[in-house]
Amino acid sequence: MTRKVWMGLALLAVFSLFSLGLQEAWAAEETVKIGYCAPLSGPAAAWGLPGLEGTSIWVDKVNAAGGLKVGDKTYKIEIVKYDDEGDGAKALVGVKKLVLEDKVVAILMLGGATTPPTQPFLSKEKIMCFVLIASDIAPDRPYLMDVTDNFPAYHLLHTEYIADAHPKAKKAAIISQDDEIGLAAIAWSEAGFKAAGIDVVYSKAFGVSTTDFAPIITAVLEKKPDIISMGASYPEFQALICEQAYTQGWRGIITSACWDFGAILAKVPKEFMEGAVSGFPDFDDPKLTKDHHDFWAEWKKRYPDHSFSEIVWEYMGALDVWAYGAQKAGSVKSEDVFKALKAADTVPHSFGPGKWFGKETFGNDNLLVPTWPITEIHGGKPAIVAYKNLFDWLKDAKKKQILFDTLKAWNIKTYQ
Amino acid sequence: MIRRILVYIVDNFRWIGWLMILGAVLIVLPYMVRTYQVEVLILLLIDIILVVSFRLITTTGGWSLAHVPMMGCGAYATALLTAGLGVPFWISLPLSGLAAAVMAFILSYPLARTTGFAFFVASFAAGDSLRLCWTRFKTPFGGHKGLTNIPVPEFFSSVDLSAPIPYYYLALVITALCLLIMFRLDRSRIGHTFKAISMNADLSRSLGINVTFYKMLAFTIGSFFAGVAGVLLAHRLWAVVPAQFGFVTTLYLLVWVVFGGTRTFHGPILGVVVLTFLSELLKPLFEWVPMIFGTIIILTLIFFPEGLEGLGHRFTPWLDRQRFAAGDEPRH
Repeated sequence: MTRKVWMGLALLAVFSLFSLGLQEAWAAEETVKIGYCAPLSGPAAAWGLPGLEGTSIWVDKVNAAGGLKVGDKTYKIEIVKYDDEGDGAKALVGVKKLVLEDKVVAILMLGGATTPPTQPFLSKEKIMCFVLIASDIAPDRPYLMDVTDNFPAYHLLHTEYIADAHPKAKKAAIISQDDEIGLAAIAWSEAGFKAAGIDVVYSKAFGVSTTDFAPIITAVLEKKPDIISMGASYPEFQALICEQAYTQGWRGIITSACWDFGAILAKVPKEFMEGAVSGFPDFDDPKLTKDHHDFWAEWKKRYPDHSFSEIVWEYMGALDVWAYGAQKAGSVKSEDVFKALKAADTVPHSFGPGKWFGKETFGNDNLLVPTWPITEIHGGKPAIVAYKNLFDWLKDAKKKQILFDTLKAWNIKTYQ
Repeated sequence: MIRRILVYIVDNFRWIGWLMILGAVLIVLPYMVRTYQVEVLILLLIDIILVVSFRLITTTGGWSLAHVPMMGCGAYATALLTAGLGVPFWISLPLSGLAAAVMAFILSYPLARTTGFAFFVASFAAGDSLRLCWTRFKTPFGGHKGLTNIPVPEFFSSVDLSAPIPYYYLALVITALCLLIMFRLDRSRIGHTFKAISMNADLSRSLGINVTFYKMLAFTIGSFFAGVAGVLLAHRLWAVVPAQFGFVTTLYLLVWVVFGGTRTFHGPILGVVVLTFLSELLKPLFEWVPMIFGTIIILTLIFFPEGLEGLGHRFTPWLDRQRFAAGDEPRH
C-alpha cells in the first residue's frame, strides 16, 4: 500500500470521527420543550409562580449534566411558560400556542377551572397534562395525570394519623370554601374522620367571598370540636380562620391540606399552631433524602427571601416523573411516555415509589400514590412524624364503603 | 332611497373610507399572524361585544356588575341547548342571547329602581346569585365543573369551524353585526333617551320619559349582546365553568372600559384593543404585569380622566394651532 493510500485512509478516519463527534454534539443540542401553563399573575399567581423556582432548578441541573438521555439521543430541556391568569379562555389559548407553535411534548398545569376548557383540545392532540388536583382526573381526559399532589386523597391519611396520635380527640369540625377544591376536601376529610371513629360535628362550606369568619367560627365552636380541619382553605382564609379560633379561646388540633405559615403566624402566636397536622414537609427535613436536601440548599441559595410551599416542588416533581417515563419509553413523544408510565408497576415519586390509583374514585387510574409523609408543626416548622399509605387504608372494606357513601352524600361522582 | 344612500356616503366619505380599510385589514389579518395570535384575536372580538354592550347600559348612568354573569347566561344557555338538546348553533345563537335578555329583564325590575352606588352593589348581588345557581344546581348546570362537550358550530360540511381562522371569521361577522345594531341604537331616539336619563334622570322624568322602563330596556338589550358574546366563547372553549364568569373577569371589563372611556361608542373598543395588545406584549414579564397595568391605569385616570377617547379632544386644539400656523383653516 502506498503512502498516499495510507494518508487517504487516515484522512477518512479523521473525517469520520469528526462527523461522529459533530453528530453527537448535534444530538446533544436537540431540545425537548415542556409547557408550563399556570397562573403567573393575578389573584391565583401563588399557585403557579413558585413552581417556576423548582422547575428552573430542575432544568438547570439536567442541562448542566449534558441533558436528558432518552434512547440514543440526549436532549436539552426547555420550559416554555404561558401565564393563563387562572382563566379558562386564556388557558385554552395558551395550550394551543404551546402545542401547535412551540411543539411541547407535555404540559404542566395547576388544574381546576382551567381544566374543562383545555382538556378537549389536549386529549385530541394526545398531549400529557400534569395537574396538581386529582379530582380533575376523569374518564374523558385520558392524558391528564396527577403525579405529585395527592389532594384530596391524603385527607384520609391525615385523619387516620390524628385518630392514632390523639385518641382523646373525638369530635371534628370541617370547613373549607365553597368551590370544587373546598367541597372535595370537606367530603374526603369527613370520610376520613368517620372511618377513624371520630364524630364529625360540623361540616360546611363557606362562600368564597367570605371576609368575616367570626360567625362561622362561633357556629363551629358551639359544637365543641377537639379538631378543626380547614380542608383545602386558601391561604388568605386559613389566617382568618386561625385568628378567629384563637381569639374565641379555642385550643385543639388543627389540620389542613397545606399551610401558608407566614400569613397564619402574622395573626396567631406560634404556640397556637403547635402540633397542627398536614402532609407537606420542608425539604430540609432530616427524614427526607439527600436529593431533597440538595434541592433545598439550591433553592435557599437562589431564593433566600422566598417562603417554601408545596407549589415550589410539585411541578418539578411532575418533570421527574415525565423524565422517568421518557427514558423508559426511549422516546419523548407524548403518547409513548404516557404508555410507558402506565405500564410501570411503580413509578418514582418525590416521596418514594408510587402506584397508580383513581379508577373507582375519579374514573381513571391516573393518580400516582406513594407512601405519604404526615407532618406536625413544631416550633413553627413542619416535621415528618409518620408515613401512611392510601392503599393500606383502602384495604379495609368498611372504611372504603364509608368513603364512597360520604362522597355520594356530597354529590361527588364516583365510578365504583 | 338610492339618492339618500349616496348622499350619506358622500357626507360620511372619510369614515366609510376608514371603515373599509379597517374591514380589509381585519379580513386579511388572520393570514398575516400566527395561529396563536388568531386565537387571541377571536377572544378580542368576543371581548369587544362585551365592552360595547356594557357601555350601552352605562349610557343610562348605571355601571352593572352583573354583565359578565349575563355573558355566562348566554354561554350556559347555548351549552344546554346545543350539547343537551341538540339544537343547531345558528338557532341557539339568538335563543341564548334571548335567554340572557329574559334573565336580565327579570332582574332589571328591582335593579332599575336603584341608582348610583346602590345599583352597583345590587347588580353585583344579582350576578353573584346567578353564579351561585350554576355552582349549586349540578343538574342541569354541572356545578363547579360546569358543562363540557359543547359542539363546534356547523356551517356547510366543507368549513371546519373548530379551526381558528374559520372561527375568527364567524366571530368577526357576528361582532360586526352586533356593533352595527348597537351603533344604530346609540344614534337612535332610544339611544338619545338613554343619554338624557344619564345626564339628568329627574329632568327626563319631568319631560314624560319613563326612566324605569328605559333603564330596564338598556339593561335587557345590553345583556342580550353579552349573551351573544357568551355563545361565541362557549363554542370556542367547548366548555363552560362558573369560574369563567367570576369577579376577576368583571374587573377586567371595568378596567377596559375605564381605560377606553364610555362617552363615545369607540371608547371601550379602544380600551379593550389597546390593553389586550399591551397584555400580549407584556406576557414575558408576567410577574410585573399587574404593576405595569396598575401604573398605566392610574396615570390614565390622572392625565386622561375621560379615558383614551379623550385623547382626540386634547389634541384637536393643538392640531388647529398647527394648521393655523401653516395658514390652513382649523377643522370643526
